[in-house]
Amino acid sequence: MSEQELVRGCLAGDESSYEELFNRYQARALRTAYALTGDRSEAEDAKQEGFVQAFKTIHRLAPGHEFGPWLYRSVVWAARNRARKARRWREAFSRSAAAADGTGASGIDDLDLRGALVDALRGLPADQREVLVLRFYLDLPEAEVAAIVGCALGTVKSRAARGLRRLASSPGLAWRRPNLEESVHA
Amino acid sequence: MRDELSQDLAVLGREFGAALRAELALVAPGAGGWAPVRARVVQPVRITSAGFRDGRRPRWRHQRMALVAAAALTAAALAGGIALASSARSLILRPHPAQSAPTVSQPAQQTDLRTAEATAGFHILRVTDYPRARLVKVETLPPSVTEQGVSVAAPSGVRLTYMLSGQNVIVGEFRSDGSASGATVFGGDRQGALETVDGHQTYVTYSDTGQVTGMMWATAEASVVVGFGGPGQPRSVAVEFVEHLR
Repeated sequence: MSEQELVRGCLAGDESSYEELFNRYQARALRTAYALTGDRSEAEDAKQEGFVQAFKTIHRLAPGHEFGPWLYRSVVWAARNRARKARRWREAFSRSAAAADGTGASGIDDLDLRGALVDALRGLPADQREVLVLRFYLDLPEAEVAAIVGCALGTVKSRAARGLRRLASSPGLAWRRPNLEESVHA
Repeated sequence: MRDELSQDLAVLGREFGAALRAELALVAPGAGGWAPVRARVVQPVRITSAGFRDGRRPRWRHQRMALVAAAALTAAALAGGIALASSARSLILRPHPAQSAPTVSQPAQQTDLRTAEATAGFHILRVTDYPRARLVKVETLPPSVTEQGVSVAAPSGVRLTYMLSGQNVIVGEFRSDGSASGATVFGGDRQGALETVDGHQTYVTYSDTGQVTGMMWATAEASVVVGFGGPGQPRSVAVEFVEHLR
């Protein structure tokens, strides 16, 4: 069943359509929330809040638009709210688990680099982290990211640029790419 | 442009995304995640005494139901006034001979269409433009009991409630003597009127002038005929259709 059919099913009150959408998106929603909050339990809560909000307002989803960005917007807002309450950025990623995973993705098989990137993510301001996660983890277009985080397209570009510069200036990446900072147009 | 990414930064962005995907692949949702969401989004649906589905509805449905309810109150008041003032009053309110004595009213019982047909002896024809016109509720009207405790025809009638396309609700009551005891259209965009068609009291609804959207009446043979033509159909089509059914 196509996503549009599932959305129409939700609008008609079909419970199985809700559940199917949930099953399709719950992993990415959880991982997005995890990247934003850095805490498993916070991420689960943000995921749940995001789904509830997205489903409750699904009637406002414009016809033909995808459910994913609609959901991610709710997840981002839920994660923001939780972070605002918690005011903390906990230990996020399991190095041991990553090492145990041992598999590369898209040619990134260097655990040092992966670890350095993820470490650097922790140190980013929340607004830059959101943009980087949405833009580079979820592969959303910049315009979609702008709509989700609620800012202008230019702001998304500048946040992405600043966030990546900060990533580039992290010790692990500086070691990996000694000339990176010099190549930034800033 | 100052904030555009250099090629190296763009590469770093892609590598960052790949690294993050590899890390987050280890984060798997636990079992049973749907249950708490379901509890907050999907509520059990039940048929209320008003015949509508209850439970959590999108906001536009709340608004629509509120509009229907407000329009229903207005239309009911208007219909009551029109019925009293209408020359068709004697036909609309014609009492069943056995019901001429004062009666004690009892609550109507909701039932399904087939049961209503079987017990009431009515022949009910389905709406013809389903699902735009939707039968919401069928009720058997309770036996009328005189003050002397004498029960008359049981059940004494059928009440049908249809929701038409748009925001209209049409309620028709048909007594077992074949008379239409009342028919009311609730809604804001159509005018309904009781008319005599070939000697039969007929409730006709219009979407526009001369464009019939629904007709319903009870014949002398205690047959209920409910027919809805599509919006935009000329009245003659609806009349022919109902004549054909008869």
